[in-house]
Amino acid sequence: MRNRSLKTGLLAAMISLGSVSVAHAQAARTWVSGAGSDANPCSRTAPCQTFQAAYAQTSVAGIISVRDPGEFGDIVITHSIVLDGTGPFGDMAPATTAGIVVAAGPTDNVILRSLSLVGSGTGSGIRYESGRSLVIDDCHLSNFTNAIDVQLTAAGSLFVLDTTAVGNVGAGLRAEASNGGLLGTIARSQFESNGFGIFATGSTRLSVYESTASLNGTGITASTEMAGALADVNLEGVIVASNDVGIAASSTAGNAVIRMSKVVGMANATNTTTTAGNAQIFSFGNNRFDDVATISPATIALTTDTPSKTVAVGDSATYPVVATVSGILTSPIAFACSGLPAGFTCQFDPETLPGETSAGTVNVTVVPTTPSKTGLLLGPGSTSGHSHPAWPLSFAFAIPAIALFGARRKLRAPLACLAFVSLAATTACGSSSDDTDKNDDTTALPDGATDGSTPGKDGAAPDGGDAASDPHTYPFKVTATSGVTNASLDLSVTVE
Amino acid sequence: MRLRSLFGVLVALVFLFLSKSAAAQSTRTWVSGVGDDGNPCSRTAPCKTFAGAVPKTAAGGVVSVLDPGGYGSVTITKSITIDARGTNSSIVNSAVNGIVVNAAATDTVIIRGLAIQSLAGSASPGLSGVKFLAGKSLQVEDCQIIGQSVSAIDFQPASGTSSLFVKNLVASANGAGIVVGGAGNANVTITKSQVFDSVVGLHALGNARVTIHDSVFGNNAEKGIFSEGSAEVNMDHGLVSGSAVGVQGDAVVRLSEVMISHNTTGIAGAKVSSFGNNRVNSGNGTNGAPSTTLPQQ
Repeated sequence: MRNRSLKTGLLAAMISLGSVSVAHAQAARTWVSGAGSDANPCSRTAPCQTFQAAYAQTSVAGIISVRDPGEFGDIVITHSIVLDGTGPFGDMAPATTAGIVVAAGPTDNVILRSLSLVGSGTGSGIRYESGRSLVIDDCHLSNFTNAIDVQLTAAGSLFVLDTTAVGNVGAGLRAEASNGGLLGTIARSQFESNGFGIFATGSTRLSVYESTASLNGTGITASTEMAGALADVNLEGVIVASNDVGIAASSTAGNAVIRMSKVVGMANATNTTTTAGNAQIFSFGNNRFDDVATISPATIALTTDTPSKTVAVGDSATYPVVATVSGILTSPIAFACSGLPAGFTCQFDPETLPGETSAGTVNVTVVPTTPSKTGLLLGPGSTSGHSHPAWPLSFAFAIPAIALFGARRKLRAPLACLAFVSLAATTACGSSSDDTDKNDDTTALPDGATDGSTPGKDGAAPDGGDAASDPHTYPFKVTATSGVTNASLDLSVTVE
Repeated sequence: MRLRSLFGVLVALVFLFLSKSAAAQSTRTWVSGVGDDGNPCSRTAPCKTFAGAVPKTAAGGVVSVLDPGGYGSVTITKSITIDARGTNSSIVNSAVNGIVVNAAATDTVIIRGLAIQSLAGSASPGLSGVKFLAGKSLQVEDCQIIGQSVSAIDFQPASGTSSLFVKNLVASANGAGIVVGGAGNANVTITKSQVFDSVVGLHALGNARVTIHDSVFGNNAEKGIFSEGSAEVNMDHGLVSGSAVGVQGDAVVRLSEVMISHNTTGIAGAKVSSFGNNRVNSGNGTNGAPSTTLPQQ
C-alpha cells in the first residue's frame, strides 16, 4: 500500500510539474474542486482549481461543474457557458474589481448557477457587459458596490432567479443599458440591506415577480437622465419593507415608470416618491401599504383630427376620437356626449374601450333624432325666441310624414306634398297658418310672411326673426370615463 | 483435501455465476461519478451511467446519485425514479434526447434534481431534454434543462391518457420550452417553474389540458404561452413577459392573477379569457385584451 501511494504521489508530482503548459482537449463538461489543480484536465477525477482555468478547457456552451466545496476565483466570460455550483456551491471571493465579467458575443448565452460571491466592499459581483443572455440562478452575492452590475451598450436579456443580493453599498441589482436596452425578469429573489435594492436606469425594462426589497436605502428605483431613455419596471407580488424609501421614480430626461401590482409596502420611512417630470408610479389598485403611498393617477387624453364637421340637415356626423391612456385603468372606458342640442344623440362604436387600452379609437357619431319636415332641428335651435302655439299640434300630425320624409330621400317630393298638405290642413286649424312659401323652414309661419331663408337651411330663426340663413354651429363635448379617471374633448357639428 | 477445495471452488463459481447472470435487480441502485457500469450499482459499488443502472433497478425502484457526475442519456421503459438532488449531476446530451420515456400505460417515471444540458449551437446539439412517448405519468421536479434544440420537455402521448407534473423547472435557451399535445390526452400541471429564452415558452396542442400555477415565462422570442388545436390552458398567478406575443390564444386560455408585461403584443388570439384579475396594461407595445371575462365564484 505504501509503495503504491508513494508511486502515485511521485507520478502526480511529475505530471503536475511537467504538464503545466499542456493544452488539454476541450470537454463539454469540466470540473473544479477545492482540492483541484489548474494543471489538471479539469475532469471528474482530475478537477481544476479555478473557474478561469476550467473555462479554458470547456467547449463553447459547455458546463463547468463544481465537484466539491472550494473557492474558485474570478472569471471573465466571452462565450456561452454554464457555471454550476449546485450542491456544494461554488464560492468566489473576487480579488479584482469584478468577480464574473460576462463580455460575450451577441449569440452567446451564459448561465451562472449556485455560486456564492463575497466581495470586499468594492467592485461588482457579476458584471454583464455584453452577450445575448445571462441567467443568474440560485446565486448569493454580498459586499460589493453593485452585486449584479448590468452595463450594456447593446441589447441584452437578463433572468435573475432565486438569488440574494445582500449588503452591497451601491445596488443589489444595478441595470443600465443603451442602444437596444435590457429586457429583464427578476423572480423569487431578495435584495436586502443595500444602498438600492434594484436600480434601473437608461433603457431598461424589468419585470420583478415574487421578490423582496427590504432594509435598503431605496427598495426599487427607476431613474432616467437621458433623453429617449425609458426605465420601465413592473412589480408583481413584491414585498418592499423597512427601506428609507420604498419605491422611487425620478426623471430629469427620458421616462421613468413603475407599475405596482400586489406590492406589500410596510415600515418604509417613505413609501413612494416621484420627482417632477416624466416619472410615474402607477398602481393596479391592489397594493397594500401601511401608510399613504403617492401614486400617479392614470390619465386619458382624447384627440381627434376632425374636431368639427359640417353636415346637411338630417345627416349624421362621425368623429374618430383617439383615447390615449397613461397609467393604469381598472375598468373599461365609457363615453358620453354633453352639451348636445336637443334633437341630437351620440352613438359610440365601440361602446366602450377595454381598460387595458393604451391607445384606442372610438367613432363618435352625432345622429339627428327628431328631423323636421325638412329634416331640420326643432327646439332650442330657435334662437330668436319666436315660437308659434300651433307648432306642437301641427308637429304631432306631421311627425309620421316627417319621419318618412327624413328617412327616404327618394320619396321626398311626393311625401313633401303629402306632408305639406297635412300640415297646411293642420295649421289651418291653429291660430296661425303656414305661408305659401312651400320651402319654408318652419311649420309655423303665418301666411303671407316670407321667410327669406334658403330651403333646407336655417333651423334657428322662425320667420320674422333674424334671418339666420347661415349654417348653425353647435359645440358639444365628448367625455370618457373609467373609474375616477375622465377626460373631455370639444367638438362641434355645423348644420347647413 | 483437493476434493474439498475443488468443491469449494465449484460452489463459489456457481454462486458467482448466479449473482452475475441474475443481474439481480435492486429496488435502489446507485450511480457515482467514479462508478463503473460493471458494478452491481450498489452503494459501495456504484455504476457510472443511468443507462447502466436502470436495467439493474427493479420496476418502481430508485436510481440514486451518490456524488456529482455526468450520467449520460437514457431511455426508460418501466416505472422508475431517478433522483439526483443534493448533487451536482447532469446529463449532457448531443444529437439525442436526454431522457426518453417510453413505458407502459401503468408506469410512473419520476426525475428529480438533474441538469439536462445540450451544447447549444454546436454541430450536434441535443434534441429534447425529456421526451415522453408513452406511460401513465411523468414527474419532473427540481430540474434544469438548457440549450436543447427541439424542446426542454416534449410530452405528446400518441394514445391513451398520460399525466405530466412539472415543479421547479428552470428551462433556458431551448428551442421550445414545454410542448404538450399529441393524439392522446395529455393532462399537465406545471407549478413554480421558469421558462426563459425559448422560441415558445409553453406550447399546448392537440387535446392537452394544462394548468400552470406560480410560474414565469420570460423572454421567449415568439410567444410566452401558445394554445392551439383543441388544447386548454389555465394559468393562475404568474408572469409572461418579453415575447413578441405574450399570450396567443388560438385555443382556450384562461388567465387569473397573471401579469403580462413588456411584450410586443400582450394578448392575441380569439380565445383568451380573463377572470378580471390580471395585469395586462404593463408596458406592452400593444396590450390587446381578453375576448371574454369569466366570473369569479
